[in-house]
Amino acid sequence: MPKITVDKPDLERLAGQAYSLESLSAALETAKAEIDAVEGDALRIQLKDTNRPDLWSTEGLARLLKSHRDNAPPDYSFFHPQIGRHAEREVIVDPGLQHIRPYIAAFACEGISIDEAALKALIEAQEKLADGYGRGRSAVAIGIYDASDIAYPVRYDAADPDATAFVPLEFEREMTLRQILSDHPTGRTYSHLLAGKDRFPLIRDSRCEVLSMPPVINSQTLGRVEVGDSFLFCEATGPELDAILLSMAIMAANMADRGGRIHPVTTRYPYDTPHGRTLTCPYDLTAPMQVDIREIYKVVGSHISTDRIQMALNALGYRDIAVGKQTVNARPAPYRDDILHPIDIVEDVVIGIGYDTFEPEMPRDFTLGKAAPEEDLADRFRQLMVGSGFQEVFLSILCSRQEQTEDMNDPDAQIVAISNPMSESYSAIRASLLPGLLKTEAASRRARYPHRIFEVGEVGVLAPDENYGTRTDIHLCALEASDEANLSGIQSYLEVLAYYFNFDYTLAPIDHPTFSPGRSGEIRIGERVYGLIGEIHPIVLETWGINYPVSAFEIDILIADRIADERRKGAQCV
Amino acid sequence: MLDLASLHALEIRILRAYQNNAEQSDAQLQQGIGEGQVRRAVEWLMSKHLLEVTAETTRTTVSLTEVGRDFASKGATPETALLDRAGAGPVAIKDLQADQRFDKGAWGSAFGGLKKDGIIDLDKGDIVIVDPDRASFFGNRLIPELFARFSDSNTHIEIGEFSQEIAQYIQANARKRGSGKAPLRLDERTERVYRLTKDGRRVLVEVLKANLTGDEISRLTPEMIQKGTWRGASFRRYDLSIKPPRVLIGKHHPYRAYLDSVRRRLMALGFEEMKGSLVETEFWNMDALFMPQFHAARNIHDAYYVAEPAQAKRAEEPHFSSVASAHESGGDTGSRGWRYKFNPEQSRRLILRSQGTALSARTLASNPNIPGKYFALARCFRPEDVDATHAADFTQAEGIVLGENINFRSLLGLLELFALEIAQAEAVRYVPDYFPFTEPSVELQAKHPVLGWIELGGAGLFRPELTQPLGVDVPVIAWGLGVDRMAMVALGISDIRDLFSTDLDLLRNTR
Repeated sequence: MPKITVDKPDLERLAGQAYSLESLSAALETAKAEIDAVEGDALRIQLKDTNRPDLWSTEGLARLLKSHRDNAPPDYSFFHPQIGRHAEREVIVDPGLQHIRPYIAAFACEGISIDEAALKALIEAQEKLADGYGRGRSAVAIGIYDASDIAYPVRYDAADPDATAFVPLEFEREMTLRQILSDHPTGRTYSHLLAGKDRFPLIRDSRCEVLSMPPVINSQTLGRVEVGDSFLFCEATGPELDAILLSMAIMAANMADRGGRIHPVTTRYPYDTPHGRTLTCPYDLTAPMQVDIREIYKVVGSHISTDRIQMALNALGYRDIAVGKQTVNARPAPYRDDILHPIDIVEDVVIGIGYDTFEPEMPRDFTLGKAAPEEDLADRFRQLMVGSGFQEVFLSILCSRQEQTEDMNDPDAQIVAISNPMSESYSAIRASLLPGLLKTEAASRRARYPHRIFEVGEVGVLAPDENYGTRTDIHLCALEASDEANLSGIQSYLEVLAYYFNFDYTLAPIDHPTFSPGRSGEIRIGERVYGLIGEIHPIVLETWGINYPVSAFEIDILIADRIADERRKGAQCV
Repeated sequence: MLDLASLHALEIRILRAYQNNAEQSDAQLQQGIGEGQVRRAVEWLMSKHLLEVTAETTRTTVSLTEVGRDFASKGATPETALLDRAGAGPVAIKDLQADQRFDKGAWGSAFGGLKKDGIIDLDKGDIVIVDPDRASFFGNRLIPELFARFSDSNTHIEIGEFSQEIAQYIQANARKRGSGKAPLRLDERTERVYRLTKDGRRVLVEVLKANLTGDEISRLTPEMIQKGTWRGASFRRYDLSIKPPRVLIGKHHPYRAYLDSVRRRLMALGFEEMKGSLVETEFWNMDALFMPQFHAARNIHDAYYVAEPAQAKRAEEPHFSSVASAHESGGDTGSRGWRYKFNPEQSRRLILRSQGTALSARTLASNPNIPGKYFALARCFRPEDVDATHAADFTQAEGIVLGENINFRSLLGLLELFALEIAQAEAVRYVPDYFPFTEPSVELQAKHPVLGWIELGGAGLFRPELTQPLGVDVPVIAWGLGVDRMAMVALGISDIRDLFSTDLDLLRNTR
């Protein structure tokens, strides 16, 4: 979830109202935003809605607070009309960019007052859009420039990375485009986005003064914005045209909110785009949408007056609202791209009216409560173990790969490993419960002996025949640690389970590295193996730092139950 | 005043021994009471300040070891036997060793000792007595004056009771506290004399008044019941102030027991339990929930990926195609979709389930009951930096409610029911929330007496783009409760890692 830093006085100035922290916190609920931390005037705000990049800025939050309070959406005249509009400022696109970074959109802004708070907010909005919404600048990269020195038309070129050079931001010497990727810190951060390209994107003005090399870095000359600037140029580039246009719509609205006059810029493409070869930005991507009023009633669960629907949509920035007897027509705000389905408009109606105005209604349908059969079974096994005097443990399913293998003296054990672990402690899922119980035993040396502990829980095992190559089983593991723990002692508890669950078993001797030689066996029914029992090998006890003899068994309770079930059915047939 | 019930039968008997005597020694007490456990009872009485020591003497006593008892029963030691044989006529060492009464070593050392003392010598291979005076000590006095005086292994005789020569023999042939091969053993015994303290005398008066004899019966035996001998017997009263140690029992894990209680409550509310695989595909974990493949929460850092195998073998149709088209263009759902090219390879990637909602998606896709209510307590996994508030392995309580009559108000009603029935909250409120797969979405907050408003869970109505491709045409509530957090509040745990504690003491002692 995105987090932004907001200067409270700046937010209040934009919203036209002062807030206490409490009242601000309540007002921000509409924006699905929460105040995370307060440090003087700096508020750290968390935005929950990952589809509303327009709210990831001071300006965006202030805009929603204001329109919700006044029930009036802001009117941004620069968004309409679309068709045939042509601006005097132009960007010309090089044909070579089609397969490198094909799209660009831009606008200019005059008369904006850039003070310290405004500059910080603009940069934060730019970063959230490019790094968050634009996925680390791969989908969208944004540049802001001092426009007073730019000579139009601006050119968006595919440049030779070795023959072209400029002075990048924060540097004093000229570097080739390729050198920037290897020598400039920002260049290194984003170099992967241009890896393998034979030409690099470059934005220059008509005099060949470099603005920036998107999506990497601005130039030191035209690419600097400072406090006191009032005439800005803003562009976005990337492979997804709609994402670029939305980002520019948001940036334009943000700058307009700070008093800037937005001048559109027309981009001329030598190739086709989803919106034609000539495209003027800011561009309104939204389309009017129709919602059936009965659908609203159905979703909400009560009747809502048309006035309240109208008011709610106004409050959330909708335009061209027409509330009729059967249908509601509305067009989302031009800086929003999250209205996919009429249901999204219904939610905005509900939020606009306020969740607290709806009367909760208890569910009335009759349904049957039921446990999952495997959980039911697990419960019955757990009861028997508790009745046998064992303390239940409950452990993490994520585990260390080493604990399941080397530490059990069984380095070749097959387990489901994680390809992107954060640490060795959580690098696999357990295939066996026994290591967890040994870990518990090792951590419990101070507890009175004897120790009798058990766990019933899920394990993941490799199963090449399954579609997922793995299977989730439910195991039961019981362990005894005491000065006289031995195989027959722990087996007497297996007898309890076998008796009450009515499964018969035999023990087949095996040589298993976890157990002492000659003191372990496979628990079998016929030829089917469903568990292991034995005395833990002293070498394993030493590895875990356990000072008492330990015996244990582990079974797959689903198999045990299936076998018991077959027996019961068999018995009925007789 | 001391509770008479706290007096052990032996203590009573010892107290009573002072009825007619102001002072009693160990030996006298033992004699009067006739039990070996007197010493213990004397210690108890002294620790209660009822008895005190007036005099203390140390005595050295002699007793027989096993070897000594052997000599006594044979009426001979190897020395007396050797001298006996030698007195009767010439005898060679190997003749002696043929005598089975003692083993070769015993004969050997008897010969060596007597020869060293100059009592015997060898003459042409035969043993001859050279000092008949000292030989007669062995022959006439040793057995009757020493070994024969011990009636059994418990007999202790004060060393002062023996003649000087015997005492010398004892010192030479005893090993202090050792068994070894020595026939005799010397013990230093401290003999004390005790008298009652002032409190002791007062307690004795009470004991006599209550007519306690110390012969009260402590245990009712089956035999007493069968033979009726309990009649007329008097039973020792118990001291109820002494608590026995707590027995170690089998017991459920506190956190799991909490989850059990949540499960029971959900089932009581008519919810049916869902189960599923720990390993999921991105398809069921995210695609089927209408989370676009480019969504920020589908970053590599937000799920654990399975190393091998990395992908499911095949996509699960028919849902795969309908979900893919909902993503790309909205399909038949009335949505415009997310407008991107759906990647089937990504869809088949295997991960560890990162949200319980995957189970709800699977339930929707397998002909659920309508109306229906489902829940799962699902273990979920996310790559987190683990600390007191973040776990990489955690439990989500989540589920769905399906039905023609489901709407936003019944969603609020359901949340209220959860807050009241499952979390026992006093007051609740609802605020707008965002989940990629629900619209509208609600966060449920409950009032905690100390912590104030805390987030209890979230819910929403599943988007049509989610339900329709899975074959469901009625509204569906999706809900989730922060059950780990609820458990921490209920169990008074402040570190989430303690939910999976490996400390047996802690588990045993948690109420």
